[in-house]
Amino acid sequence: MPRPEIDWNEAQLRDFVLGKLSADESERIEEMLIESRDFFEQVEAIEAELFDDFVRGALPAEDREAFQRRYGDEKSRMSAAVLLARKSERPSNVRRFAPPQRVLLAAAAVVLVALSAAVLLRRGPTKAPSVAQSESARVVPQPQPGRVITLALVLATTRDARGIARVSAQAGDTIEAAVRLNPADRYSGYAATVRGTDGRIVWSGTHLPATMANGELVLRCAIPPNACPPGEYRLRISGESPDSTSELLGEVHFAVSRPSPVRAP
Amino acid sequence: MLTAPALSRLLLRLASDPDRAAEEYEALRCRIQKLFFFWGAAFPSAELADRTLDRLARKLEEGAQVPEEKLGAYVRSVARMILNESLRESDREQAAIRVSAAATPDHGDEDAFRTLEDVLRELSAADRHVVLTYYGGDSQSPSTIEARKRLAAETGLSPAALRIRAFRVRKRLELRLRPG
Repeated sequence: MPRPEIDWNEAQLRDFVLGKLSADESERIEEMLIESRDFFEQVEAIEAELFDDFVRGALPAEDREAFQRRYGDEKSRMSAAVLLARKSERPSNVRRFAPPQRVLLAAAAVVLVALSAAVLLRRGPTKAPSVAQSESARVVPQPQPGRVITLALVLATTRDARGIARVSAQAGDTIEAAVRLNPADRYSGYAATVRGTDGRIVWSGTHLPATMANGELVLRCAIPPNACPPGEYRLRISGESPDSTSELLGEVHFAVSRPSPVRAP
Repeated sequence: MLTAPALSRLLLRLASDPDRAAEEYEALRCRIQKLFFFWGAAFPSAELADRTLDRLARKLEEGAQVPEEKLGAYVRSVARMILNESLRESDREQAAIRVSAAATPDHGDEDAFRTLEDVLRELSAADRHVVLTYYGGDSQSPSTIEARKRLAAETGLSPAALRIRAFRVRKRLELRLRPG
């Protein structure tokens, strides 16, 4: 069907939905609704927003009356709008992909790591989780066991402009990324990939378990020694479902550096 | 009564591919149904939409010449005809009149809210973020407008495309929240 030629602005479409336009204008819009699926969807989307405005008390009195006349019987849609309004008023345990507070949490993680570069030091080799090898994964045999450096991270979707999590690790150290997840994001297992700035995967793991400790859900990814030479990386976490589908939960950037050599006095 | 040839002619008018034609037919039916809703039709709008499409198919089979650019206007005029007929039937049969509820909507019980939480968890993280951010406030408030602008930048979508994406997720939510 041909694309409508007239561009109606949002205010006019809201007025149409509320039945406030003239007969001629309404007729033109009605014809366009019939002709164009895209235009129809646009009008329906505006209609949905009017439901929200109505239940939140944001419509002027005249519009409120017009809305009630037309949509007063739409109990199911009204109920959905009420529930969404309540949802936006309540703090939630349903994880957002990139809520504003997650940027603050990522910044807090940066400060935490900056103040204590190595949170825990342990001797002895660490058993790496099962690794899904890719052609670009680097596996370097270790001549001797190194330390395990834990890097505390919080998932985000955007790189925090104020900095990224940094860790100082020697060659031969295992970097254990302790990633704090939203407690609502419980899966039977998790998959993780680490990519360098060139986009190549340097390490990946699947079926990784997360554990609850002190009310926090933490996923530990033991990145083998030398998988991450000095540089910047992106760690991406997905939740694994029993039906073999996965859901991307988020990612976090971190940087690896070598400790400065100790100078003799 | 609608004949098979009349229906076939209508479908062919909507699209040459049979599968696509069936999809277009259903989409057109939804749009016609919405027209009846906007007109405040007393009869169920689904039934009136079916009558409209039947009448349209018959007219096309009888030889009505409708240019492509006039199809919307033609369908609308057929729908208006059906509406007027239904109003006359309604007067004769004293059918029920739509009554709009004047009461303020209730605030939803806890069970319904828990259902919403459950349904939200079933969404992908991205869809969940989109629907909660986009519908996080009334549409005209500055904070909501700002939040939507940020969301559009995050997702790389134009404001119009973001509106449609959020709406499509919301439709899925509404379907799941419907009782029964």
